[in-house]
Amino acid sequence: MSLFLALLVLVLSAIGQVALTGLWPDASLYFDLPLVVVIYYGIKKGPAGALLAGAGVGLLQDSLEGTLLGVNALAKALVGYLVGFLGLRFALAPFMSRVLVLAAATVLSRATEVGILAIMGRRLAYAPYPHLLLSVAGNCILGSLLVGLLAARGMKGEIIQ
Amino acid sequence: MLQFVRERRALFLLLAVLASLFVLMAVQVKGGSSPEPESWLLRMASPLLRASAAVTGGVTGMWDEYVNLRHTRSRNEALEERVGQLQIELQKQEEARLENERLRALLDLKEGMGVATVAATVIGNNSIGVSRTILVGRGSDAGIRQNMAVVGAQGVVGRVWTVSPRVSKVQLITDAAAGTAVLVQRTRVQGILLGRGSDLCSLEYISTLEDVKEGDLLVTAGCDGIYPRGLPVGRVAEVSAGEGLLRGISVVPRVEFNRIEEVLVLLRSDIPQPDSPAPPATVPGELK
Repeated sequence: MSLFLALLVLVLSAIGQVALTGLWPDASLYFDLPLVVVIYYGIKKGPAGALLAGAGVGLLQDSLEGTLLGVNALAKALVGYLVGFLGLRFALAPFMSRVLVLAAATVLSRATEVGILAIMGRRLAYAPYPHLLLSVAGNCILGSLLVGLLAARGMKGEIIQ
Repeated sequence: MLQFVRERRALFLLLAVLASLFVLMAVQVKGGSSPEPESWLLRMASPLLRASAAVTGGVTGMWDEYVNLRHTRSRNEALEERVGQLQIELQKQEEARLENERLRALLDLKEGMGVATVAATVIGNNSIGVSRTILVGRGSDAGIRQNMAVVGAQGVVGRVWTVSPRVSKVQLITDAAAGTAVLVQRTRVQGILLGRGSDLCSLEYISTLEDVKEGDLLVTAGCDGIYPRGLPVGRVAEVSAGEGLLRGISVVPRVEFNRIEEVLVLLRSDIPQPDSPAPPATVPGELK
């Protein structure tokens, strides 16, 4: 996958997330499309690429969603790095591993956001625990489908085993 | 040292990114205003955002229209069903109103008759056949006997011909074997109304000297032992020269036999019975 295509997918994921919430306002409770893409890059590209992808798409997401600029970027950069780091050492491509990574990454991302906002003295606009469970479920389903779709399109071989 | 950094390049990159982002956030929190990078990002993403908004708006619009269309369709189906039900209801009410009118007319007739009567519903109608008869749903159990007069709201229907416990056959005045003593209401001229086996009857035994015109009302004369005097029978439809000294007169019965639904049977005790000499022993349809 070329750099341009990778950037396009990242930008589209952020735009898609905003568009999805335009169609279905509760979509942000269930899905974090950019996070799923970052996890995919973490599995596929390794820590450095996923880290940069997470930071970039996170900044775009922050700017589009109006949250504190850097919150999503930091959380996704951290998640991308850790998934990439794990991807170098463990097989994350199998279905169950993928679901576990998606669930753990979602939890980590949300926890990071909450922590950063707390450090910065900002209040959460939502109840974290129910929101977290919904996000885990939604991201696991969406992530499994998307990664499966990408694998079916011939990118599976590129995933770092 | 360089080897150490190269081996941990991703980690150092992470630390650098995290530190930068922390600084970025700290600046925002301290400054209280949105930073310049945010507006850059927003500006860069705005064409894509507008495009996606257009797409989602279109999808939403299409979906809304689809839902509305489906809603309209289902509502239309429900309304059509309701209209159908109401039409049936209306027809039932109209039918009840007409029945009420008929029964009311029959009741008025019954009250003005001066004799005991029994109402009966027409259950079989052979008013356009060779033998012109109807079947009514009352019989000897209701006190009906042969040769009793049968009338409708408009006038004379005929006489009871055959009786069973619950059903009676009525010979109509249009039957070819039927004869009724009548008189012209206007001039009191008497004659015999004979059935022709068609929708018209003939008024017989009227001299060319008598005054009979088209439109004259005929009523029963009350001298045939079956029909009481004064019941309307029909109107003169045509008057012709006839044969010899007698006129040829066609009469249209007042009762529309193919539409009759209820009748009254006059329970007279003085009517002639089959063992009596009158009336003539003809059967419906048989020409005299």
